[in-house]
Amino acid sequence: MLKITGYADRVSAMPGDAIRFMINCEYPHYQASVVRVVQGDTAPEAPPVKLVPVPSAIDGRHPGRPQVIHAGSFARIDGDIFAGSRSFSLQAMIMPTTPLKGRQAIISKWDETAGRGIAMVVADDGSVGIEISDGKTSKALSLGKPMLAKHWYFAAVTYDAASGEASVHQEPQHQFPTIDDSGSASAVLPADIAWENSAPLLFAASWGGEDAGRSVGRALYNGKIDRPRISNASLLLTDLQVLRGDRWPERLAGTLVGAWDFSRDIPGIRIDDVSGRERHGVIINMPTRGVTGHNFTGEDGLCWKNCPEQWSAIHFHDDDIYDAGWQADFALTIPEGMKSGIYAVRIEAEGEEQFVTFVVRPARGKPTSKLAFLFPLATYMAYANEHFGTNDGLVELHLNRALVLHPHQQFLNEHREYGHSLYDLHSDGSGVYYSSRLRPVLNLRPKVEANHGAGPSHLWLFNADTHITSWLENFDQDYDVITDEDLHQEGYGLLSGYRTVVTATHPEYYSKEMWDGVQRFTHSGGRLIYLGGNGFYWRIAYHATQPGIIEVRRAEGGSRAWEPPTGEYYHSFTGEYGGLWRRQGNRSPNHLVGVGFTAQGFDQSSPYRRAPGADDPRAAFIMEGVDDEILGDFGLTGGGAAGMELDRHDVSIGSPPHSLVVASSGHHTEAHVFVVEDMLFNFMGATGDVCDKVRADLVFFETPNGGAVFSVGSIAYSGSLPWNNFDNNISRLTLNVLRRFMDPTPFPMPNA
Amino acid sequence: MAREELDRLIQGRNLGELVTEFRAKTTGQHSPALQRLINRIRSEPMTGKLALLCTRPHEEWRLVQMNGRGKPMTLLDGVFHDLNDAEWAIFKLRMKRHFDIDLND
Repeated sequence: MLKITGYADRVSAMPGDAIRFMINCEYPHYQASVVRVVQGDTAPEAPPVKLVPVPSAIDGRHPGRPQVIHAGSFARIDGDIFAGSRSFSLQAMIMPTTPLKGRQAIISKWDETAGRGIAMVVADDGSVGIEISDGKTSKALSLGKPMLAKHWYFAAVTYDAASGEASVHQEPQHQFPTIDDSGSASAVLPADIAWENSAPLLFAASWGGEDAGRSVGRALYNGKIDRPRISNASLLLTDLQVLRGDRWPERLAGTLVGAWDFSRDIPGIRIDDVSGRERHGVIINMPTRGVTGHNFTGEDGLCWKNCPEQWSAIHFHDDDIYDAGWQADFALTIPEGMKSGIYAVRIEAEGEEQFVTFVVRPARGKPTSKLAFLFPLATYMAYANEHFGTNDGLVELHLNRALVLHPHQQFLNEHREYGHSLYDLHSDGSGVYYSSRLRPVLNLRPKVEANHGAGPSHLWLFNADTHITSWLENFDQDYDVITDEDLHQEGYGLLSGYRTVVTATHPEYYSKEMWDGVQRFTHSGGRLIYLGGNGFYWRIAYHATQPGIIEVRRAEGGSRAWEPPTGEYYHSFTGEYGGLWRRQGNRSPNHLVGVGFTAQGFDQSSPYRRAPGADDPRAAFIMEGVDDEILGDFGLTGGGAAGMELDRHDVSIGSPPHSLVVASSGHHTEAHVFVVEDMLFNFMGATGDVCDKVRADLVFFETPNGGAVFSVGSIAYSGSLPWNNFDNNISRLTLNVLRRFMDPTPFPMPNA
Repeated sequence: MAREELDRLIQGRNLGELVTEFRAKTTGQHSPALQRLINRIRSEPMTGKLALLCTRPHEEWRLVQMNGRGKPMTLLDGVFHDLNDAEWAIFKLRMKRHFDIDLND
């Protein structure tokens, strides 16, 4: 099991920037060094691994120390809420998603260390309960009727300090004839229990104290909470019912000490108290906002911006994680003159090796090459710490081969606190909408293998992308590395100084700013080489104030790992509609790069065959010196250049009418299946062995002002570049494109 | 019952021939009957699923049984130095598990 993990506070840095590195190391010491990552594939069929040592100030021996992650989201309100009263009422609308998981705090002021406080909980028996403790004697009462998962309930508890009377109330929003889950219970507990304590008031957790500056939640709750209210008096059920709404009579206002409206500041991290007492708070570990509340109708619009009162809920998860919050172990200031490129800090101890990957980009507005490699950090974040191999057994039917797990996946399966990818489900079965890079991302490193990339290399994303960087360096092509997070922040300005931009193998996740930046580049004379498959596919959003976190809402359709419920199609970070770019006006991948996602399969790749477009004089430069009919019947990713995820040229979806199909693949394996977004009804004959839409098209077209786009439409493509020591028809063809694209001579638009 | 299911999957094909086909080529396009058969036996849920843990990159794989989300996997007997041998070992175990059929090398 891994004993070294780490992350950095930023992935992209320019000369003069400092990057802080946070390392968890269970060994007493480790060696740190910096390498420039050129080729990270360890397969014997690949060129030798090339990690170039770069002397730096952080080189040397460092003391190791364990650092842990406290996952689980909750909300925190500081200050004295109860004003000295030991009587109270706690209430909320709740939608528990794992009611039988064990004790979960819904509203608490409960210090776990002292065992003292008050809480409304989902009790061990799955029903609403109250807990009160003075630190010596703990009293608890629950209804004893388990709630149904994913159903809304009115939940309330009260305690009257004068009489000792306590009550619990649990009322389902919908009743079913065979389900007995409604009622109230009461008991007389000791009077005047001295439960007061210094813990903050929390929603969705109890207080586990602070650890190295981080708030730690215990008794973590899974599910939604809507309209929590607190009174410093024991209220009757009829009054509790009145407080469910958004307005209340003056007679209840005097004892109402907090009423929170989660529909305010949905894009932010604040929770607002609307009781007038100003007991505002913050969310910790990014629970999901912009989710439907108990009163969502579906008839008043589907966006939280239009009718926010129906989105006054937060969905908390016991495995949410935003910023691991580790202590920094060292910092690296990027020296002036450090070559732009992909780097990693290598941590070594007792035979174990770990990497923390980062990018050195050029100073703003000062490219050091005419070529940029666009590092797809957003997509790496989308896949960060994916659990494909350990969550769903049907993964083997995706792969059509045995499931091979790697040490980091074994670790992540057992260390769920490291958080999930946008492909995973939370522990309660809901889809993961957010992914952060402020935690160790164990699949963003050289030498790592993955489930989805086929043999012999078995690479996916970052490490597969080093086939591209090693290919560029093999031909002595200088290049800058820039990240798409930079592109999101700076837009077209980041690209404007480059003549050509090369993508990675799978640039799948794009914000509007990123998409617009690429399109403006290709329309301003820039040249784009899209060396991958299934790119520019999902729309994502970045948070306005919290760095290093992205959001996806897989609305409507598409090839997707989960489906958001109706009403959760709009990003909470921005209010933008989520889903496929092809459903967002004229923004399909085909519009941008001439091809769009059409099929996927992960067992074996296929070659391309020359297409009629190869004979067009406009494409002559592409095929110069390449006489073969069959292209790429070899490769490190499935033994062919076309495989894994494939894109199709299709004018009806937006491919420019003047785009040329230079080559197309075909005869894929049955495991390569046609995408669902192109299948209105499911039908037979949609697999690669019989369906001619299961193919990759290699496409070229000219863009305004002398620019051009070349797209390969296949994730496996770059795995063919290094084959036979970079001497093969795919490498030759791609080099032809690169050299012409680096030539400033404008591409003329073809005549009508 | 298991035999009926197997017959439905292979639809008159000779099982020995399908086994030989798999042993010769474990990955990629299979004949329809073999693909149906392996789709069926690969549909095991994550709890109890047979899989491989890579113990030396591109050199060594250990047979494991998955025990479900979040639970440690169980290391089983069986260390392989070729993924085709590992595929074959899993295939044999599943033919026993699902159809009570013993296959020999």
